[in-house]
Amino acid sequence: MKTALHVVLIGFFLIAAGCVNGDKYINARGVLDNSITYLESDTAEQKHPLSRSADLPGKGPTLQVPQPALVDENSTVEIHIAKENLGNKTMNQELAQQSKELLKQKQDIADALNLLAKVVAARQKTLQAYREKNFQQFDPAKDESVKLENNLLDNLTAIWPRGTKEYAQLSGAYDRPKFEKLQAFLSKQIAGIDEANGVIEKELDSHSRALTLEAFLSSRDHEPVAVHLDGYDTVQEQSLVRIDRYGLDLSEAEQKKLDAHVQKNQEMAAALEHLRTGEATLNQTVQQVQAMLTPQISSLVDEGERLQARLDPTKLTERGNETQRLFDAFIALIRQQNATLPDGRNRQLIDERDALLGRLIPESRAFGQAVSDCERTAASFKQDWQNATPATVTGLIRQSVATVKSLQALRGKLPEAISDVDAKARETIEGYLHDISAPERSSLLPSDEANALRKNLQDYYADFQDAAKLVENVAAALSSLQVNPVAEITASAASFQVPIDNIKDTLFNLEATPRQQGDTITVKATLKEADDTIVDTAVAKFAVGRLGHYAELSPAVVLIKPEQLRGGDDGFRFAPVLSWMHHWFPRPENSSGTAAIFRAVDPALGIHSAFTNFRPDGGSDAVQIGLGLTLSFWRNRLQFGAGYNLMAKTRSDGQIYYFVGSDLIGLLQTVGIVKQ
Amino acid sequence: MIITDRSDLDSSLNDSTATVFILLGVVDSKAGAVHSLMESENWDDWELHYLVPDAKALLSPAELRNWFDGKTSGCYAVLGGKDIPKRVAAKGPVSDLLGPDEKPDYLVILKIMLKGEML
Repeated sequence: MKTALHVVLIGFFLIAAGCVNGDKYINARGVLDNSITYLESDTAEQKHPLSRSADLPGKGPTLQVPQPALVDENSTVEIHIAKENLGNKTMNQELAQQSKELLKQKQDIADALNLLAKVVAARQKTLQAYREKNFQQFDPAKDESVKLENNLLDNLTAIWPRGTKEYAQLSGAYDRPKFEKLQAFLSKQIAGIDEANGVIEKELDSHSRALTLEAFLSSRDHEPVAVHLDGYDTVQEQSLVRIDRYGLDLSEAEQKKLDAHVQKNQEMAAALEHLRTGEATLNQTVQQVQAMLTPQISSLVDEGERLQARLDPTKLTERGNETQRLFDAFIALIRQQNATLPDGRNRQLIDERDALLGRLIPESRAFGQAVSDCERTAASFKQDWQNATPATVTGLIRQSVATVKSLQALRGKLPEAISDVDAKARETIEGYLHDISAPERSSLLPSDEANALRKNLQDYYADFQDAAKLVENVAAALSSLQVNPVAEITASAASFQVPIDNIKDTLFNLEATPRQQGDTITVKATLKEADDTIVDTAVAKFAVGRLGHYAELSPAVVLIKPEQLRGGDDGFRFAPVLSWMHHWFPRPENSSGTAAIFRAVDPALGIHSAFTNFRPDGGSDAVQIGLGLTLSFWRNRLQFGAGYNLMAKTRSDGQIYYFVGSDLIGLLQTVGIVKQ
Repeated sequence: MIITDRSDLDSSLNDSTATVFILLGVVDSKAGAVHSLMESENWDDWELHYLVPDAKALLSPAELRNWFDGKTSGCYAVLGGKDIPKRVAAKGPVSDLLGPDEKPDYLVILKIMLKGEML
């Protein structure tokens, strides 16, 4: 009864967890949030709304903004912008209305001018017929001219109705039969409208707004990368790279990563197997495994110790004395070659030497102190991670965040490191000889004394360079221990402000980005007034994942057991296994019960090859290869399998085997213990 | 033209090309003011206007009834069309020809003249 209750509770928990689809939303905060709609277009060109609105997707104002929404790594995200919402509505509508009315009036007057020309022509025809007493022509000509003039009067009095100031002016200007004054009056009115409209347009310009749209890809291991948004930046579009859904068409980097992953699994399985069989002690195995987990930190500690030895205060005093001795030898050579060197210049050479040493030694001390701090930090972390238990991992990760910040601050305080050590040393020596004539300088520079001094200075600068790198590398190594650090987004110089009238919808194609699963794409929109005052900002985030069917190669360390093993140990033993696992991860909008279960346990089914050695007594050490099926849960973290040992001749030789295991290295990478 | 006999009026009324604008009233009246403005403006040769100070003496009772609804002053009528006798294109009190400032409105007068011409 109790067991059944536990099963029901676990099932309920899994389904509840699966209903959480991974998407997060925040309520829209302003006009920009309301006006931007995101839509995912998958590889089958099916559209999936990423913004939430009350109306049909993409039709009404956005009410909830993704923070982040899960998108497929091979999809395209469309950004639709309702630009009509982004203007300074009250001000612009009023001005735009005024402008519209003026332009309509201008059009009406222009039409009246055209009509006037027709009236004049028709009247001339009428008058001519009348003068010639040609009444056959006169009657239709008069009908036409009267009709046109009647229309003209109607149009003019519609533009300037009775009682208006312009009506009186119009009446005064209506000069039959020539209509010259009327034409001038109408042209003047058009010019006046153009002038008034110019003022309004200027006013509208001063209230015009512009939109900046930027997108960045943030990844755990790299600096944020700008993502191209057509029409909004000059970021170069990358070539399209579709990630193979079958997990077999690997890039060179992915292949290397997989090889390393397989290698680590093999080493770990071997180490654990040695422990199991008693061929190694627990301590030896733990050290072996931990050394594998923290190789980068270990090398940084070694580098720190090397630099610390070079930059410790006692050593620096000795190095300072040596530099002074080399300087003195060089000064003696300068004096020897310049017998007529004035006394003032002689003193200056000494002063400049002292000034240089006065800078070099304190800078060396600053770098030395930084190296010492870093080495202590790295060593302490190495120690902490080696002694880590599941209970202390979270605390260590949190601690690493604070330490990285302090290391970054330390790097900021250090003098600027030298990028080209050789050039800097050469430049220092040449600067020292600035008062010496060119021919003498060219004979001094290749001298043994100059070379020895240059080499000595190079050593300082190289140490500064190494120390600065060490601080950065330790900070980077500790950063990689953090879970999903979100990089700060800086404005891209490549983006530009797009006036509201020119705003168009845009998109970013994930295939054109160096994305990896777990990366985040952030889209930042900024609406500004003409004077650069920020009106509103909006940020939306998208998490890169795999949706639908996909397959991947999954190396794992497993406990494998032959069904029967005559004359040998038929218990569990450690072995590396490589499985090709097929997953189906439901889209976030799929709210079915099946989807919830798949989301919660992320099951996968695949085939594997196992590398083992079911060794009967007296058997060989040759590796045996088995093939079979693997069933996994939680993204390959827990794996079960059964297979057929190709090297075994009979069932009692371990032909059939079972295993249970884990993608241990992947698990450790996820919690940040092993660098990707 | 201020008319005291019918000769010019009759001639105009028998001219198939003419449009005749008749105002009833003395010179020092609103009708006289309208007439004065019309005198100062340019009209085509077939657009004719008359001020009739003594309507009873000059117009027949039928003309007064048909053209001016029996009134003898302070009103106007525009007669037009190719057929003789001409038809009434517009008629009404002289006040219709004034602006809000009580002064004759040239564009209104012109518009009414054109009505007569359109017959």
